[in-house]
Amino acid sequence: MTQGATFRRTLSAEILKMRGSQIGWMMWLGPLIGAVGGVGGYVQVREEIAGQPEWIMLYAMFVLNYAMLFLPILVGLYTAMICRFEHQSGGWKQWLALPVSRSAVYLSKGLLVLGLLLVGQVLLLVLMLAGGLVLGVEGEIPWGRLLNGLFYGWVATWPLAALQLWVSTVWKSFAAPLALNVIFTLPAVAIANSATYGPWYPWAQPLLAMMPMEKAISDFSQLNFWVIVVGGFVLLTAAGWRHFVRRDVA
Amino acid sequence: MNTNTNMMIETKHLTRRYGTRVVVDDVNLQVKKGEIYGFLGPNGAGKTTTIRMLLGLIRPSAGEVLLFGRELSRHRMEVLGKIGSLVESPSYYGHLTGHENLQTIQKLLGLKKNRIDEVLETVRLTKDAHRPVKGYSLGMKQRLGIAAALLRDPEMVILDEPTNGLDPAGIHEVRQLILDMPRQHGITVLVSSHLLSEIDQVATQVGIINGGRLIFQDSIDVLRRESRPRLRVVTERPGAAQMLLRGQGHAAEIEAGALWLEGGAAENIGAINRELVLAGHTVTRIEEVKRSLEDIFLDLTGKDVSL
Repeated sequence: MTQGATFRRTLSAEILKMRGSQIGWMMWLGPLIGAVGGVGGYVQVREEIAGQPEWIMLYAMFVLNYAMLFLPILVGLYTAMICRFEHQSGGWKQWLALPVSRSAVYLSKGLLVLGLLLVGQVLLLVLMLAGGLVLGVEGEIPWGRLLNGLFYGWVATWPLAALQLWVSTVWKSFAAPLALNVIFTLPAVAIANSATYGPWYPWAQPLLAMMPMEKAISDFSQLNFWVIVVGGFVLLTAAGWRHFVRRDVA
Repeated sequence: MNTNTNMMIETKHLTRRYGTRVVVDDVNLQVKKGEIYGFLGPNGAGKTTTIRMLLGLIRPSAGEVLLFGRELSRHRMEVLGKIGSLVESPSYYGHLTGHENLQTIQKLLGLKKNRIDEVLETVRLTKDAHRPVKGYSLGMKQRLGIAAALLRDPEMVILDEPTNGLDPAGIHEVRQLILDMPRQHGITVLVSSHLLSEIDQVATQVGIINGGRLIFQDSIDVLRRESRPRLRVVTERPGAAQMLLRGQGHAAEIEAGALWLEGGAAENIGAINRELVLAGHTVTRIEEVKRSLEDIFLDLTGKDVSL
């Protein structure tokens, strides 16, 4: 059996496990809250920003709410949910005593989390367009800017997802990784403002990547930022993966 | 006969330490094809740790595990493919139905879909297959766990305390399933328990572990042979009676105020009685006392261990 086939099977089994779980509606929750905040924020500042490109302003209001708070929390929620099935009723021991590679299990869980996050970005876009139409936002839709922002924002969640997946596989508790994640998310907006530390902080990275104002990471070259993001993702994935493959299954 | 090809499980000096604590100590298990191997020991003796090492869930500190004659550490995927397992409490995804639970494994291993219905039939869960597992009784969850172990049509099944927490009816059902495995499907079984009676009713071979060490490993018949009856003789002066019987070549011991004579003495009840009476002893009671496997087990494991 090829590596690819093993991996596909593992992934499809993981997807099946999500059936009938809470993840379905949770996927909507983050983008919905982001949308409500975004629409509300846009209505409030509409007068002040007259003359600015309206779609970009709407996007900024959506992102400010969503990427600052809900997106990092959602990352932790997904990784915790996806390991919860196993932690709850001794799933690890059953699953890992099967002829399945631990690497495939770990990486397919990670891939699933990234997939869920990507769906979240798409949902955010859909809600943004719907919000814009309802509010009667004027002007051409800047597809390039929107898609770029959402895509890079997604990539910027990867280091955090890798970190949270690691923590969620190790800690038996469902609440502990979530609490850790929330504690580090709260100061994210302040840290994002620091040109020195912001780019290094996984909880601030999605916000930095998604904000339309280039000044957010102006003192720090774009290239350096993405090196940190991708490097962090690779390192954290490798560490969590290695730990998962070697550890005792209690 | 080549013993190696028949050896389903073989561990060599299998050892696991946690810090300085040795949980499994130099264990050499040997499980042959077609056997129901009862792995017996009090709670905390190292059964589950051993079983986890057999399944590659934890790594040995020393020694090795051979499954089907191949090293687990090198051929993990291949050998685990021929084993079904149920470790301690059943594992399940509560929000999924019984059928869906098995489907996750079927998909993962790329098995045929109709195997799911077959094994559900085997453990008699067909009727409840499409209910969420969180509504199952413990016995049903346990049967689902056994169905999961049977799903890939294994050559060997490893069951860790499969009757733990079940009611008598549930215990009976699980026992029946275990007995059927070698008979109907040619499956070798390793089943662990802390209850001797459980093992006694199903096993053909027995391994007893205590304090991490394998202290007995042989057929159940050998263990039973140890349980030949002893003779208990109650007299007024046991000390003098003991001297008399010993003088005639009987191995007599005093325990709890009574005289005990070993196995073969039972055939000579009449003669022993006569000797004692002729020597002026008043014999108030002579009885044959069968040693239960429980007693033997306690002898082997040391009396301080409660079961």
